[in-house]
Amino acid sequence: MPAGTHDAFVALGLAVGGLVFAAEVRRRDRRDERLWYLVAGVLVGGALGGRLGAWLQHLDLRQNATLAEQWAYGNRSILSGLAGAYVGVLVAKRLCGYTAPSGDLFAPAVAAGMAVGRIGCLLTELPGTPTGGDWGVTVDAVPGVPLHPSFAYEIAFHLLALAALVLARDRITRPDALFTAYLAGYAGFRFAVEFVRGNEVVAAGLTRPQWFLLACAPLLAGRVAALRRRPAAGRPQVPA
Amino acid sequence: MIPAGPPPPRPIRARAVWSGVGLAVLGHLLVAGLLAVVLWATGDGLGQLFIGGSLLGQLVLFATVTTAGTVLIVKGDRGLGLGLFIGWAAGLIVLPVVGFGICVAAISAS
Repeated sequence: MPAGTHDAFVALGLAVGGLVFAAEVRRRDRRDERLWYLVAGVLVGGALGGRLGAWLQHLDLRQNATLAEQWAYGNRSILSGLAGAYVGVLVAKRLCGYTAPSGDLFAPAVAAGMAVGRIGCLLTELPGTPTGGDWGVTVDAVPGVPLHPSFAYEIAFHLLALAALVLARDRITRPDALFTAYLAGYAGFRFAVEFVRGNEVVAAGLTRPQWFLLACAPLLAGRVAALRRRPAAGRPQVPA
Repeated sequence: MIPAGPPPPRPIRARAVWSGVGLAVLGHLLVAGLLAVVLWATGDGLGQLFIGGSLLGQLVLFATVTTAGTVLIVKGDRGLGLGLFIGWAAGLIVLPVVGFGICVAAISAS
């Protein structure tokens, strides 16, 4: 596949995510010009996090690439991109004085965008570890060996998550509950799928993304605990 | 007589945001294009010139977007300023491999 294929699907994923976000804002009647700040925060944080997140890979700092090398050649990371996007929204909200919960506006958009963007990964990256299952895929780089199509698993997860978010969004009224559930679900799924992704195992049988997820687990647990203390809101206002 | 407070900021217009997005994406393409021209003219491979030129171009673009975007958000057209940031970030996510491809094509053609 040509190198542009990956970027084309990432661009398509961004566009789809943007459209889903705009639709959700309209559906919930949450139009507010300060949402532009949040969109800028998501993208700037996501872009910087995704590009620089894989920088500190080694505990021995001398083994890490320089910042310039990481910027130019380094791996991109979806997980650190998501973390960067989350921080970006928090900063943007502080800057523009937007205090209302906003996660539920973003949750379906992130799921839809990731489902599309990951098609680019499926078509251009090594898919996973060897499998004996009939659903394994073969690639030129590893001829004759069926591999787990781990990106296809991830696409399926995001599509199912999107469907669940759409079905549950009028029933679950606690602010940001949908977003937190999506984050927790993706964290669990990603931790599991890493066992067949084929990423480098760095310690205790776990890959870097799994260690990253373990490091973030207390933050996610704190978010869930905070959510449980937050009262449920009334039913979302859906225009006829 | 009570002195008049500062005028309320102008509303953010979607058209201004999209203009900013377009300008920033154009900036990304310009950086990749300029680098490709330099590599084509010098016949240099994917060596020091590529990485140095790429980083310099990105740095100049980042500084331009950050300065212009911040000034616009604080004092001018907030939509245009936010659009610059949105377009810069979107370009950073989407365009690195495309820019790389442009440069490889330029080197191959030289």
